[in-house]
Amino acid sequence: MTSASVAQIDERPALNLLLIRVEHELYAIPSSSVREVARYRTVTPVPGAPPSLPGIISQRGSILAVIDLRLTLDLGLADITRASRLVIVNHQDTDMALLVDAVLDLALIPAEQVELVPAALDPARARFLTGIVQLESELVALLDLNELINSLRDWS
Amino acid sequence: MIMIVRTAIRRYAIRRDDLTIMQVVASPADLYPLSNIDRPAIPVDLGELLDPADQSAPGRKHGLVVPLRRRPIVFLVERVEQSLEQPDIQPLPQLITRCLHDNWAIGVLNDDNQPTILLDLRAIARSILAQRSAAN
Repeated sequence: MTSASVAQIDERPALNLLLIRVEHELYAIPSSSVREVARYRTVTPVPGAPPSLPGIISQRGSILAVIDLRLTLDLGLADITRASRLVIVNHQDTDMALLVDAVLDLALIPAEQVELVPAALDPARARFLTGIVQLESELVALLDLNELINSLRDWS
Repeated sequence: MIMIVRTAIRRYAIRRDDLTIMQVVASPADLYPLSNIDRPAIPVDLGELLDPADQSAPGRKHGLVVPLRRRPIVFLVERVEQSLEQPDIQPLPQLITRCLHDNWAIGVLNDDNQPTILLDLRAIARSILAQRSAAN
């Protein structure tokens, strides 16, 4: 690696991330896309919607689609608990609420710590990730919100 | 005008203009006056149709009659709860509409921060008839 490319890497801004838990796995969402975090409340189902879209909520007068990250990431159904949260996100001019098992913390991660998604990872899950980061003893997967939205746009 | 109807476990909004009649249906005999001469009305439990977990107990229902040319469809609900002259109807989020199997849900009544799905009962009735025709 040349000294110029090292300098280039070092100049990349650190990533401001919201850490969430889905099943027993840690994921991260860019904080810049997060509008707020709300306690889980009853979702209104929409007839004919796929299971990964359990329904809608009204958040400050706006109607938002709820995306169940467990089902989207193929991690299976689970009961709602006191820790369950709705992460309200705006990305690509789209507002949505991500249903997660818990919201853990904010983290500032140097960009150079981000590693490629392991090739051995299930492609159905890997498509929703932009990279992984080792954070203390745990691996954190960075969620690709573009792909999340595109997967729903392409659903039909 | 928008009507709010209650099934066993959910509420839905419907357009009054989609219906000809609303009437109590307490027994199968109550369906006869709602039928055409040679084409008996088809009763459909609305809640169960939209969500298999939405099962109502047998008994007195409210029947919502959608008059299709071939046969009338009678949607059975627990009760008609409310009518609204100028409701705040919002579109469904595009993320949802792109993924729907059918265009049965056409909007959202956002009342007291509690969204209620607005249904197109005529579209649902047409789907039921089409499914029956395909099955026969």
